[in-house]
Amino acid sequence: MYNLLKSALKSIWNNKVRSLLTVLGIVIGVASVTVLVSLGQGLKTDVSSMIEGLGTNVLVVVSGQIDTENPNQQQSMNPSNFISNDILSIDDVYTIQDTAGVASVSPMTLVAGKPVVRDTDHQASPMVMGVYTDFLDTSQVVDIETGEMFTANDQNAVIIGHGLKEELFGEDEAVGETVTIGDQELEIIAVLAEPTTTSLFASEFNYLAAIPYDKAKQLNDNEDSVFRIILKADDGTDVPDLQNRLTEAIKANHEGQEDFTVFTQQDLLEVFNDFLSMATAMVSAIAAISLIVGGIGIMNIMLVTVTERTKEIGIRKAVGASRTDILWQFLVESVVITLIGGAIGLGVSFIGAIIIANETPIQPVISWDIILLAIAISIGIGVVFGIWPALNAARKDPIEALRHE
Amino acid sequence: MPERYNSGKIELMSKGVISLQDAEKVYETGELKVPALLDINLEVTKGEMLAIVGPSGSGKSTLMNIIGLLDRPTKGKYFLEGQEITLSMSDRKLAKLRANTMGFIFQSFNLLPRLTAVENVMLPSLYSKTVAKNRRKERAEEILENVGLGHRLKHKPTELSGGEKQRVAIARALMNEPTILLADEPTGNLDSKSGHAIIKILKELREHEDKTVLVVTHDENIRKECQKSIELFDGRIK
Repeated sequence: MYNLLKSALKSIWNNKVRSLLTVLGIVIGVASVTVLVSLGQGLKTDVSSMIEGLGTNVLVVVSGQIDTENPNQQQSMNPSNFISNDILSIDDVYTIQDTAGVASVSPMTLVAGKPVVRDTDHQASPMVMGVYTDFLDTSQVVDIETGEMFTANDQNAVIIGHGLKEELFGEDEAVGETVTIGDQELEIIAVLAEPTTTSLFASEFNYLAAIPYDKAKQLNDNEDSVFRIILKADDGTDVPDLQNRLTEAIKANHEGQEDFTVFTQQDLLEVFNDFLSMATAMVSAIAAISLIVGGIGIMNIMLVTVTERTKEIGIRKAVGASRTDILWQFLVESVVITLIGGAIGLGVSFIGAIIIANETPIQPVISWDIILLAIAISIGIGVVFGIWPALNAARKDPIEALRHE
Repeated sequence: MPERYNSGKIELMSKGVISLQDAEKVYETGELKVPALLDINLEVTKGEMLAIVGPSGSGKSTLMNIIGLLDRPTKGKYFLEGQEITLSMSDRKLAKLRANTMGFIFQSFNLLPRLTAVENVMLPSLYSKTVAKNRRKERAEEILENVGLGHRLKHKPTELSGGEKQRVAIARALMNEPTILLADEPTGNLDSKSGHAIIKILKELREHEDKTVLVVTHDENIRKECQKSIELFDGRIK
């Protein structure tokens, strides 16, 4: 084995430029697969930390039916239902309020098409949402940075997200200032803290203007419309059981139709996670094509090598090499080439991961699994694409081979 | 003048190192049958030096390849050291026999250009257990010294003269301590002085180490150096 490795390395070294070019395909293939898989794992780790950061007792009711068990089924998610305003109603909120085990609940009502105006130079179009006073306690996503949450008595109050505050006020103090939404003048009574990037609804909460539900209804021409309902279960409540009871209760409101979904936030994250796995697998499969191309390059160069070294094969056979000996010699050579490629590819992907980690919020995770996968892929490519040239070499007739010049 | 060597019919089992009985080699290319060797009966005993002569295309190389286990007769029997070489013998088995009993010396030396003299000599030991791993290098150097190349151990074939290359090739042929040396026109690419030195080495190997030596040659002088000779003509022993 040592001799095989030595002779393989020697012959690779003797054709440095050719070997380098051949190896390049494998380098690119292994690097791209490794980077993509590690990206996927990094994203998954993010999602997992979101799950850990979330209260397990938060549930969300959305319109549209989403099958959380089989998120891959095409009909399971109809995006137009998902954002519809007319499926859920304020009656559903009342129903939830009356359900045993619910600690608090808040509807989320969109006020569409109304910018938030500070003055003519400072206006923005954030997500304006009508909510109950328990909204922040219920959702448990962010806390208030400065000010207080509005109470039932504050009808002309608004609380704004951190990002929205910066856009409208910059470094200026915002609490106590007045903004206009539609025809309503509202006083900013609180600014939300900046959400952490791993929080699921981070961007939504960063760019939010939350107003009392009744004010939102007023802005929506006095129509009750509910976009989403968020609720918190009592401590010690069996959450999956509550989820089922809520589903049945709301179904009764909807003439028995299940045109909505009650999620725990974990359900939602699992859907994300499954989607992420699928996306990672697909992208990696595309990257794997480059490995096949690289492998064909290896096969090509090994065939050339075998032809060039026909005489050598003849000599080796004359001095006692069997077909198996010759087969191993060339197989080891192609596997050594692909292993070198794999090693360089891994090195490249480490550098790539560091760059991605520095330039983007995603932290790629190169685990031992990925390293072993890359090594296994390299050996596999070497064997699969090296076996035919090696067989070719082994089958050569020694007499013909010796005559070859 | 050495005696003509043509043993005629021989008993099935033979005490010779090499024994060919009614051996034939016929190449079939589609409809066409091309006989390369016909009716070959040959007995070589241990320690003999046999010259095989004959014009080009008379079947000398084919005979050499069959004896050297690189090729197989299409008909007839071949006994090597009393063991019958059958058609059913595996490639592995033949390769092993070749590694342990045969030493090839070629007209064009056939050294691996990227290996040094020592590495070239060590090559056959990779395919045989005759020499222990830790003894291989030492042995290769010893043989090279014996053929007068102690000062050329680390040289590559391109840095050696023709005569030196052929001596490396002889050293390689001796690596696994074979009983038979097969030399195919060993002096064909050499000037007469180096050629003579090569024949001298082969003769010494026969005399001092009891090697059986077969030499394919055109050269009448070499034929005279051998104890025996056969002449091939149109695939038959004349």
